[in-house]
Amino acid sequence: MNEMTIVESANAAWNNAFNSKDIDALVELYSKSAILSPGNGEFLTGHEEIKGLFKSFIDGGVNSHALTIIEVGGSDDFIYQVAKWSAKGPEVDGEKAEFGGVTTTVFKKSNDGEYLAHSHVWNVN
Amino acid sequence: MYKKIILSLALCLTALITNAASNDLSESAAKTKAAAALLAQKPERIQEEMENAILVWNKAFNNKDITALVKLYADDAILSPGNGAVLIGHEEITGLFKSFIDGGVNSHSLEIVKVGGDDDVVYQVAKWNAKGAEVDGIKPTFGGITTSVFKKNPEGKWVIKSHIWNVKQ
Repeated sequence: MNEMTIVESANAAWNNAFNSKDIDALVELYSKSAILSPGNGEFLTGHEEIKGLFKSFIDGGVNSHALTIIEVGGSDDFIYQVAKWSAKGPEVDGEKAEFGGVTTTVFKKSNDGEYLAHSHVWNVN
Repeated sequence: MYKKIILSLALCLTALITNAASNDLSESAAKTKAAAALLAQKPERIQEEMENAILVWNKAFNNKDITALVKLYADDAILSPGNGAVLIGHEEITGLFKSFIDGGVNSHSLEIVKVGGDDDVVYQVAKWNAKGAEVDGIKPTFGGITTSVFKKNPEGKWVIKSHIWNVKQ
């Protein structure tokens, strides 16, 4: 598998977990010591904090998350992507708010040969 | 006599073979040790290289040396400056930093949160801070989180391939 295929597959798994509100599956896509900065200048570390964040998004009605890859790179142990992200908010008066921005994920190969998100930082339009 | 010669030859050969084998062993042990040492140093080496990259970046920005600053980026670098926009390449990156510097942004600093990588790619996650132009004796401060991915250029120097940040609200 080349880097693009690995990242595409990781993105499909991410969107699938988030959009089906499967927080456990979502958090499993991150390494145990993963770092995440959710667009607001703060950062979270590890599964528990990351879980709390995504739970709040899903409970808040964020849905239809999508990613469009701008660039992938790296090899072997580390692969990264820069991508545009977009998502929708809950429907209010028949309209769904739309969010988006740019995200960078660095994936690290685990001992089992799986690529897990090790750092994930995004900004917001 | 003949038997003695054969025996001493045999002993000699045994000694030689044993010696060669132990040389091989000690050589491979030394190699393993060196590789292990290199591996052990790797995180520190990456940390050191990233600390150095930060110093160079801040120095160029705070000295308003846009030419030096842009040279730290790969020709086709991607930059997303906290607002979801995407800039690509030296010209667009020069335009952005020129607007920051002309707008009075100064005193940029970085504090590493995490570094990692291998021979091809290194990355850092860091807290960034900067000050704005002084208004009525007060300098506004900005900050957030940034991630840079570095790649080795053909000359073997680490250059920034992707740089995105977000802004504390």
